[in-house]
Amino acid sequence: MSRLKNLFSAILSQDMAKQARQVEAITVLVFVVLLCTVWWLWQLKLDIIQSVKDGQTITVKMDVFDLLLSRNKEQ
Amino acid sequence: MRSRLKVLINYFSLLLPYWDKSLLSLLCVGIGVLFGMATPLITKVLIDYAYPNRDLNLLTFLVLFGVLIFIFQTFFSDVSSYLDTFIHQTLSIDLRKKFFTRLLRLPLRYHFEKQVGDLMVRVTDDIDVIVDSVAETIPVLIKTTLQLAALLAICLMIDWNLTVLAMLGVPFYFVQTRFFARRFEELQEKSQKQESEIYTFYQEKMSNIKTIKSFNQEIYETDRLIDKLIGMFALVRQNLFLGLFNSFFDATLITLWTSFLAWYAGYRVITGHITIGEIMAILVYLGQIHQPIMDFGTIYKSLTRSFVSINRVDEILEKEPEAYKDTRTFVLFQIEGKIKFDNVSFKYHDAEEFILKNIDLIANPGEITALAGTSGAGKSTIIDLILRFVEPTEGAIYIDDKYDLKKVSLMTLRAYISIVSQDVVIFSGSIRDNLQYGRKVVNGAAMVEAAKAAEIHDFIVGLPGGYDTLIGEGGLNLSGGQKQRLAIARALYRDVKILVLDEATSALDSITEAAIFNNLKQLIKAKTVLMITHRPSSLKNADRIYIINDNVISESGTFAELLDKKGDFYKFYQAQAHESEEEIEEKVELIKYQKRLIKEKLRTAKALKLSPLEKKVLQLYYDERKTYAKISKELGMEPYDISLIRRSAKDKLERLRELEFKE
Ligand SMILES: Nc1ncnc2c1ncn2[C@@H]1O[C@H](COP(=O)(O)OP(=O)(O)O)[C@@H](O)[C@H]1O
Ligand SMILES: [Mg+2]
Repeated sequence: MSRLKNLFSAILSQDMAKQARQVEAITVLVFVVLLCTVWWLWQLKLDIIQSVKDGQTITVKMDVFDLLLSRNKEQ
Repeated sequence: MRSRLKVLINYFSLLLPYWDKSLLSLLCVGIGVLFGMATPLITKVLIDYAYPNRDLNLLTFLVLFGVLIFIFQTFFSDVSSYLDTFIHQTLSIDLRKKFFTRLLRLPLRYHFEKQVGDLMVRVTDDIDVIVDSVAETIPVLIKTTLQLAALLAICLMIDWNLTVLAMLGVPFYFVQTRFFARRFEELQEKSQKQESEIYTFYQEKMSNIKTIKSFNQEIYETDRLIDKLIGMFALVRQNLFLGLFNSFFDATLITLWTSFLAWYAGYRVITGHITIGEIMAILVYLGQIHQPIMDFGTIYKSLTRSFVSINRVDEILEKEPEAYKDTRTFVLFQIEGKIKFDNVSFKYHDAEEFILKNIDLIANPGEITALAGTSGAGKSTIIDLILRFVEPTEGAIYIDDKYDLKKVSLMTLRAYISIVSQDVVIFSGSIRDNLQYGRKVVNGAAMVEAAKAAEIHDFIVGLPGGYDTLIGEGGLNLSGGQKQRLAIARALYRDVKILVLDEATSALDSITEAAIFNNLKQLIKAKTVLMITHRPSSLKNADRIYIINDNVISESGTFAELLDKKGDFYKFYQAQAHESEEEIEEKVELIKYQKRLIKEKLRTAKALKLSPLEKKVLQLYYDERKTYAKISKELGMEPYDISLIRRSAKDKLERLRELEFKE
C-alpha cells in the first residue's frame, strides 16, 4: 500500500514537460507493438466452419479481419 | 461569418506549438474509435458462425481477441486524455499570460474605463470558455468525423438501404441545432455581462467594507447583491429551459427516427435480406450513430457560445498598449534629473475642460520642489504627466532640458522615478518583499537605511517576524501612517534620481514628518524631489514652492518670498499655521502616551498569555458548565490540578481584560 503511495507521489512530483515527453515515447512504443500485433493477426489464418445449403458445412481459411467484415448471405 | 472564421483560425493557431502532442492524441483517439467499433462485429460473428456451427475454437479466439482490443483501447484513450489535459492546461497558461501582460501594459486611461470585476471575469471565466472550446473543438471534430465515417462504412457494408434511410434524418437535426445555437449565444452574452457586474460589485464592496459599516449599510448592500443574483438566476433559468427544450427536441427526433429504423430493419430480416447477427450489429451501430451527430451539434453550440468570450477577450488584446518598448525612443542613461514643464496644458481626452492650463514649472536636481493648492487643483495630475501615465494636450515636458518626455522610452523613464503616491498600496507578502518591490539586486544594508530614514525601522524590528513579517491580506494590518512610512522607505530604497512624494506624509504626525524630512536632507543631495503637501511645516523644507489654483500656477517662489507677497499662499499659511502649533503640542503628548501604552501592553500581554490547556479548562468550566470531575476525566488529570489551573487562568483573564479596558 505504501509502495503504491510512493509510486503515486513520484508520478505526481515529476516535472510536467518531461513527463509528457515520456508518455509520448511510451505511446509511440505501444503503437509499434499494436502494429506488430495487427500484422500478426493478419497472417494468422483461422479455420472457419461455414454452413452452405442443405445443412452441409465447409471449412474456409480466413483472417480475423475478413471474418469480422464478412457478409453471410448464404444462411 | 468570414471574420469569425479568421478569429477562430487565429485562436486555433495557439495550438501550433503543441502540434506533436495534438497529433499523437488524435492518433490515440482514432485507434480508440476504431476499436470501439469492434464489439458488435464480434457479436455478429458469434451469432452467425460460432453458435450455429458449435465452433468452440472460434469462441475462445474471439473472446481473447476482445480482451486484447479492450486493453489497447483503454491504453490509448487514457493517453489521449492525459495529453489533452496537458495541452488544455498549458494553453490556458499561455492565453492568460498573453492577456495579463497586455492588460498591465494598457494605457492608464483604459483602466479607468473598465471595472476590476469585469476584467476579473474576462481573465478567469472568459478565458476558460475559450480554452475549453479551442482545446476541444478540433479533437472532438476529428473524433466524431472518424466515428461517423467508420460507422457509416460498416453500416453501408452490412446494408446500404437501411443506412441511407437512417441518414435522411440528419439534416433535420442540424436545422434545429442552428436554431438553438443562436439563442444560446444571446443568453451567454447576457450572463457574462451579468457575471461581470456581480464581480465588480463584490470587489468594490469588499474593499470598502469600512465605509459600508460606518454608514450602517450592510443590509442594504446585501439586498442589492441579492437583486443582482436574482437577475443572474433568471438568466440561468432561461438557459435551463432552452437546454430542456433543446434536448427534448433532440430526443424526440431521435426516438422517432430509430423506431422507424427498427421497424424497417426487422422488415429486412423477415424478408430475408439480412441475417440475425447482422441486424444485431447494425442496430447497435445505428444506435451509436446519433452520438457523433449530437457531438457535432454540441461542438457547434459551444463554439458559437464561446464567441461571446472571444469578443470580450479580444476587446482587450486588440487595444493599443503603451509604447513600452518603442524602439524609436531615447533610452535615458545617466540623467541629471531636471524636470521642466514648458507651457503644458492637459485635459482628459473626452473631457471639455482643461485640468491644467499653461503650466511652467522647473524642478532642479538637489532641490525640493513643492506643489501646494486646493484639492482637485490638479497636483496629482502633474505627477501623472511626469510618469507619462497621461500625455500633455499642449506643450511639452523635458528631462534635463534635452529629452522631450514624449520621445523617451517609457521603461527607462519610469526606472528613474521613485514615487510615493497619494493612496499607498501595499501588496500582500512580507515587509521585505514590499520594500524590495521592483528591485532586482538586493542590498540589505541599503534597505535598512531606507527604513531608518522613513522612521519605520524601529517599528519593523519590534514585530515578531522583523522584516519577514507578513503584511496585507492574511497578514498584519498596517495603519495608514505605517503604510505611508513603508511606502516612503520603498521609494527611498529604490535610490533613483527623481523622488516624488504625493501627499506622502498626510497620515503622519508632525513630529515623525519632521524627523523624516531631517533624514531626507542627507539622502537627497543630488536628487530631484517633487513634493505635494498641504502642511506649512513641510513646505518650509522646500526650496521652491508652486501654488496651484484654478488649474493654473498662481504663485511661485521660496517660502519667504511667498509670505512676503501676501497673496494666496500667505492666506493659506495663516489659516493653517495657528492651529498646527497647538496641535503639535497636543500630538506630541498623545504619541508619547500611545507609545508607552503599547510597550506596556506588549510586555504584560506576553506574560499573561493563556496556554492552550488553560483555555481548554476555562472553556469546559465556564462555557460547557462541566464539573471538575468530568473535566479531569476528559483531560486525564487530577481534579485538584484542574481546579488550580482554573483559578490561575481566571485571574490572568481578568487582568488581561483590565489592561484592555485601560487602553
Ligand atoms: N481619470 C480621470 N478622468 C477624468 N477626470 C479626472 C480623472 N482623475 C482625476 N480627474 C480630475 O482631475 C482633477 C485633478 O485631480 P488631481 O490631480 O487628482 O487633484 P489633486 O490636486 O487633489 O491631486 C480633479 O478635478 C479630478 O476630478
Ligand atoms: Mg492628489
